[in-house]
Amino acid sequence: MIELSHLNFTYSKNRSLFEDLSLKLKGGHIYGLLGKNGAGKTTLLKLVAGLRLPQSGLSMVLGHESKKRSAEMLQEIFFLPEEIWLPDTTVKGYLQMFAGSYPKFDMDFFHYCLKEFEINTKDKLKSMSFGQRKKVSICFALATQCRIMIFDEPTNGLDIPSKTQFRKLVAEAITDDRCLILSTHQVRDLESLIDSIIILENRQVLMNESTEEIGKKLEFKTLFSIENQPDLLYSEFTPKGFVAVFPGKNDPDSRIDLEALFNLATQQPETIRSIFKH
Amino acid sequence: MFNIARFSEQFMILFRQNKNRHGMILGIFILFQLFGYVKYFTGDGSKDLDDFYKFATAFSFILCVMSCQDVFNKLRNTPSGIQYLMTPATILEKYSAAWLYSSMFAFIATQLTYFVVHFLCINVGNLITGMGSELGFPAWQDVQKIFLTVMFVHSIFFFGSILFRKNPIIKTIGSYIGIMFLLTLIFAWYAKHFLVNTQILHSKSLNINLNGSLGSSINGMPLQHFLEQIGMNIKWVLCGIALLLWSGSYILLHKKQI
Repeated sequence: MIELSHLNFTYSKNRSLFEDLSLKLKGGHIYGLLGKNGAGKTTLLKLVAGLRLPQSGLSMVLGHESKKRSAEMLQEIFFLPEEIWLPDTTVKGYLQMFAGSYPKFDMDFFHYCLKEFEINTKDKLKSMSFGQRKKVSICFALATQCRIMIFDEPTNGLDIPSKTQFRKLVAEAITDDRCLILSTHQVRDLESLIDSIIILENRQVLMNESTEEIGKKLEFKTLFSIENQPDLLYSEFTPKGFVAVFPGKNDPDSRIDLEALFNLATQQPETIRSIFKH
Repeated sequence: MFNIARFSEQFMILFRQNKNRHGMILGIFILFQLFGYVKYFTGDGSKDLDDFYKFATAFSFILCVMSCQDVFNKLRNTPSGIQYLMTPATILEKYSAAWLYSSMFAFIATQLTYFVVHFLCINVGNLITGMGSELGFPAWQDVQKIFLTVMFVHSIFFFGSILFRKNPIIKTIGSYIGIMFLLTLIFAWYAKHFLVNTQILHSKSLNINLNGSLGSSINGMPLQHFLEQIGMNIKWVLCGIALLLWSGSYILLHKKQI
């Protein structure tokens, strides 16, 4: 569905953000995009959407070159930024303004989502809180039925029950021919939702693996002590004990600790490369 | 491919977003006009009806600048810019919708409002006061001139609205003054060094004969004809500049990154 090949991107001449970056994303998956601050998560998403233009390389979305911003591509891709913008109108007015641009827009699903989030369609968008406006945007995004949905920090500003609702609605909206990319620092919020992990590190995609594959190749444990653990790849101390990462025992259902995985990947990129080399 | 349905959708988005603000501005314009007509009919009738059209023209320019800024208002910040660029339509469709909306609002809406209010006020005023004022619509050539001037101003601010992210009106006016100042300097230098030194002093080909307004001539060409010729050339240059700025706006929008 999405193919980035040999992408080079820089904001300034002195510092390049991506060098020869390549990435393939398939349908039917919910990708979690992780990276340190400034690693280029949002920029990568913008390059996919055609909001940023690469210096060289190719970004293809459903067979369309992103930078051309063709209407056919834009009808199949929805970008939900971290900071959202909504016009000065009601939910109904917002729908009237923008729903018509999306040929597959599902009005019933939109209202269903609003109901789940307890949003009143007659309310003025400007009088809503940030979290409420974010919920309206999420509902709209999911109702467009776009095949590619890009959500940048979608759970920022959502309260605890809304995060649960968000996971439920996303799980309902995703189908085999759709792909969702979630960029987040709040890994715990979306741990149960993500089925593939992309980690950006040092201007490259360090890792693009399914959780099943990660579960096979890495084992995550919580231990009281990490002494006499010769296979230990990584550990960090938490109030519950040590979260430790070991080479896996080919168990696809093993529970993954995303924070530990991310810390291992960023501190020992070569270890990750050698474990996940294809 | 240009798609009429998507273009209309874009146009309607602009209309729905701006209708309140622009409607209010037109409302203020109508109130000013009504106030003027009330003064005209209740006064001694010395006020010239042409002043109303001059006022409408001035309003056209103000609205032209405003509408150019408003159609690309979303490009001013990242979240709304994302929404704008990600709305399913080609850049050409978005550009055309913005161009049509802003030019239509700047010229057609104000002119139409002026003519309708003028027509109604003169007729109603005549009926009440029995003054018998003539409608006195402006000459077609004057309307054409104003149209061309408004569109020239439109091209400048349309371009500036895409080029400058923050404070586009101030920056466009600043750039315009700067460019005009530069052109004046270049032209003055050109006139001093090329025209005076080369043509008059060396080849002596420029023969200016000023014998009163009727008999004045430059190189044997009657002064009025000479000025008309210059006026026509300036008109073509300005049309060329406007086309260049509109084309530049399209390219800028195409390359816009958020």
